[in-house]
Amino acid sequence: MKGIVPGLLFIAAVAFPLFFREYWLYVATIGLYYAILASSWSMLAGQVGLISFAHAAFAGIGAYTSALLVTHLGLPIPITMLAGALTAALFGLGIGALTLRMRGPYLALTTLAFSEIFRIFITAEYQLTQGSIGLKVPLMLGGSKLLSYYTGLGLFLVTVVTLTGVLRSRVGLFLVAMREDEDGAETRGINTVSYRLIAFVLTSAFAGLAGGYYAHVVGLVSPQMTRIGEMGLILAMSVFGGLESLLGAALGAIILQGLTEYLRIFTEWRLAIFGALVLFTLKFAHEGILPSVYLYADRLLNRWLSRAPR
Amino acid sequence: MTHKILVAVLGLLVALGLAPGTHAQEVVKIGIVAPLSAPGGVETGQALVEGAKIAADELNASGGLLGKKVELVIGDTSGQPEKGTAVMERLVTNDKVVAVGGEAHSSVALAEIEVAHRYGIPLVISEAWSDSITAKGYPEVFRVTVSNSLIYSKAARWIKDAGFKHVAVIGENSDWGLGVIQVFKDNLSAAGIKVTSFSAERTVTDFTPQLMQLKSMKPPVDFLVDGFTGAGELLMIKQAHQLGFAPSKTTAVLGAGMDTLYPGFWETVGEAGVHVLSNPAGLPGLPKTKTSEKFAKTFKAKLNREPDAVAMEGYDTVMVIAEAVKASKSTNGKALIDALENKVNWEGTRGTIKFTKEKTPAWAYHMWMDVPVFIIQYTKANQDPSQAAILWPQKYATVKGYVRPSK
Amino acid sequence: MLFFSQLANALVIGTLYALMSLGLSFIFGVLKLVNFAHGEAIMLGGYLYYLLASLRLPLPLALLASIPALFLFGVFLERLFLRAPYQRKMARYDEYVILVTFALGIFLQNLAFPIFGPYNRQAPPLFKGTIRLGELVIAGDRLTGALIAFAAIGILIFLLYRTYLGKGLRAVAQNPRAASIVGIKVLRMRSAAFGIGVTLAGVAGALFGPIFLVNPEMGTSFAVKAFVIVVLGGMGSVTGSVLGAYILAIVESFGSILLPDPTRALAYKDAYGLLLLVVVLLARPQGLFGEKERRA
Repeated sequence: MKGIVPGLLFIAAVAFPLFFREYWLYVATIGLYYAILASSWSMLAGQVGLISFAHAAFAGIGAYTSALLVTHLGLPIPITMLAGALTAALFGLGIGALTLRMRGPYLALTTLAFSEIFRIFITAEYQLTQGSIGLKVPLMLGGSKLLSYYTGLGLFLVTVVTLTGVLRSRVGLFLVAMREDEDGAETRGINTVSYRLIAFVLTSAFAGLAGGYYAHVVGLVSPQMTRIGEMGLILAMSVFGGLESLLGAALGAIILQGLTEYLRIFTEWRLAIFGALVLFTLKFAHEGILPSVYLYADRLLNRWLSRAPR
Repeated sequence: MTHKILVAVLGLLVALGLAPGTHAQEVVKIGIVAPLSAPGGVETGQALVEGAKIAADELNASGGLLGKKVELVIGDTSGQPEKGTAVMERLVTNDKVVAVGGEAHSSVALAEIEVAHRYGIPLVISEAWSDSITAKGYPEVFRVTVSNSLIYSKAARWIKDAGFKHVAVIGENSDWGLGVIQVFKDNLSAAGIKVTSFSAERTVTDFTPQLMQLKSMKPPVDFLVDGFTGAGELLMIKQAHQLGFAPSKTTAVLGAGMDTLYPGFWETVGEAGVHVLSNPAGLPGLPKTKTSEKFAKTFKAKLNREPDAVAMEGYDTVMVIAEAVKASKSTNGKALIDALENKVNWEGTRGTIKFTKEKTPAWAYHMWMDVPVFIIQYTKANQDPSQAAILWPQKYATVKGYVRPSK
Repeated sequence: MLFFSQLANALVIGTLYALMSLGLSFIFGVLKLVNFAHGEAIMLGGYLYYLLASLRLPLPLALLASIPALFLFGVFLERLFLRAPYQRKMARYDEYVILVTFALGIFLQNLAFPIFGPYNRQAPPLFKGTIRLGELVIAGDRLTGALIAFAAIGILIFLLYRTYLGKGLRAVAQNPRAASIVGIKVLRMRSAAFGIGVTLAGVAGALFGPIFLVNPEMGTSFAVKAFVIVVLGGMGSVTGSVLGAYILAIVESFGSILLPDPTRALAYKDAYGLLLLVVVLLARPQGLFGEKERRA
């Protein structure tokens, strides 16, 4: 029974292109990019308790790696995307190693600094990266929106399955233990150092993968994708959808991405509305809107069911 | 378990909410791309949109196009290339526009032309000057304004004739800004004039250390080119003046971006704006055409100031697209492109627009080569660009030459 | 001579930076949290001054009038988002405040866009024109801004070390439990501290506005500089923030002209400070004057 809703969602996701073509398909494809980012970030911030502001930068690393390899070496896209993920993972390892003893705001500030340094570097070295002009890259799969969508869906599934698998394993147990009390966990013999690194490497790898995907769907890579505003969007999506639920964060991403288009009528107020939603979530339902909705609806339904005649 | 069903329902609702409605196609939709929010140049974008709107209203007042109403679909590209791509995708696939016009940022335009090319939709560029936009040779792309090479080669020649010896260029890191630096370097160095140049991010707000350095250079810098748009352009002039560097007795300054044309310019730079040079791609009434008079009147009534080059470009853009529709009696992309290339010969607010098929130089392709260019100089505070002294071209000049400030 | 002009400019900007980062440092000192909405506090101050000035208020009055408004707003935010979780000793409060202040920043910035419009606004400076001291040239708007910032810092120091409120704030910063035992209302002090922090940031924004123009995004880059300064100087230390501010201003000014490639030198201007931040966090996380964080 537990698998029903994810199963339903999966069917809906697969069937989506049957009902929505062209533009909305494009929107959904971009939505999947955010879904991968939100779910991987929520693993790091929600499950492991490490709030990093470098996630958008990792996506950027993946995107630029893939873009530059295709442009300068002519390698095929699947390979460059993987290279992007690996490069991001390496940087994740580096940052994880450098911030081993950092907690809370210090970690947040360091990762923020890295993100900005990366963005400034990409912008300044415009001879290599085209800077704020943007680097033009070939589209994947001949530019077919349909195939791009399914590729994204596939990547998203790989992300969720892998991360959920890790969380359900012993590794996951230790990661969550670290979140609750890092010192306590260490006392019990958990090698917090290596597990922290695992968390960083894993989540940044997927962020890098998402970045490469984004590059070859949009056809243009620019420093914009690494701005603090983008990181804020990822944070908003994860918090709104449920920081401690990978699927919740992903759904948060899809919903907010959909709202971005849907609320186009309100254009200017759109992002303020998002901000308000996130603040509301944090104040009144800080496990995330969706988990709270679950629990509330669950309670309601159970009450209704228990009043049914025997 | 039950709470998860709710999630599915929620998801379904979202999906339904996303379902696009179907409208009957009784309008001719023209897309307009412009920067209407930061970090784009908002004033420029708004001027462009205002001009476009006046054109659309005029068309509808006289019966529309092919019997249908003209509807402008405006997309905000914020000066960000990614947004340019996204907005173009939306305009073409979702709004189903017949053509797109506009854009004031070259970097964004370069992203937009790719989408236009992919879908075969005509894109008429209003106010983005980078050579590469037309040099790429996409048949879908046309331009009703100048290109960097076109305007700055003329400006460089003027600088040389006016006797300046050491030109400093500070350009923004956009395709336009870097193009400005390149054209000045190429044209001036060839004439034996010293050029010092460097570029910076468009978002820089403090140029003071750099301006101090330039001020103390030997041989002295006697001409500064402000190759920035937006706040940066204005702040550079303000700071240069505060340092006693430019505009001054020793050093002139040219604001190459179009933000020198708006009231916001005077608000920020104040007295520093007097003696500043600018290079608008059009001035109202020069040359005097029927459309320019009518447009100036409508514009003034609506917005309480004289129209500027960008607004005129916005107007011309929409009208030129309309001409193509009328001439080809169709809204099909290929037909419109053919009409723009071969049939359009229309008197706009700045002259008669006709596009060439020349490919030498590469940027000349689909350009309007006779686009008017001016070098003007402000002589009084809070002056409207239409009242400024015209230094070039000769036939419109109102003063003998550069007016040197006394301090 | 060029060197002294550059130095003078750097010191002037540094004074403004100092005021700007004191708010952040102060909030950390008393509430033990990093306010990621700091940039938006700066932005709000900039707009507040601009609006009051456009109502034709005499400019010094416009500046002074924004102070109580900013303070009350800061207190309001603290009460709304930070007090309840602190009181009920929420698990993982540290992570929560990061998320909530960051989200608040995003919300305020995106709220400013439709309310104020995306334009760059020119707020009237308290003093126009240029100051010339022999060969030295300094812009008038910056110099007056720096002088006012200097005065404001002085007032803050007076507040902290010569008033009961200041004593209470310092007590809560040192040890909240002990402070409450001797009768200091800790919750009230926390709200006041947040209000003061927002006010300091806002006044800095009001002073920056006339120099660099007011727009909804102006806070972001200043906030990043503030983070660098506060980490460099030591979170919670007034001396540290002031010193850190001057160090950053000097590094930025001279870095952007001393590196051989002028384009890169200017392009990386903001990165110098960030690299400094990373190095400090790795080598000496408590900064120059901060206290070492106790891990247990």
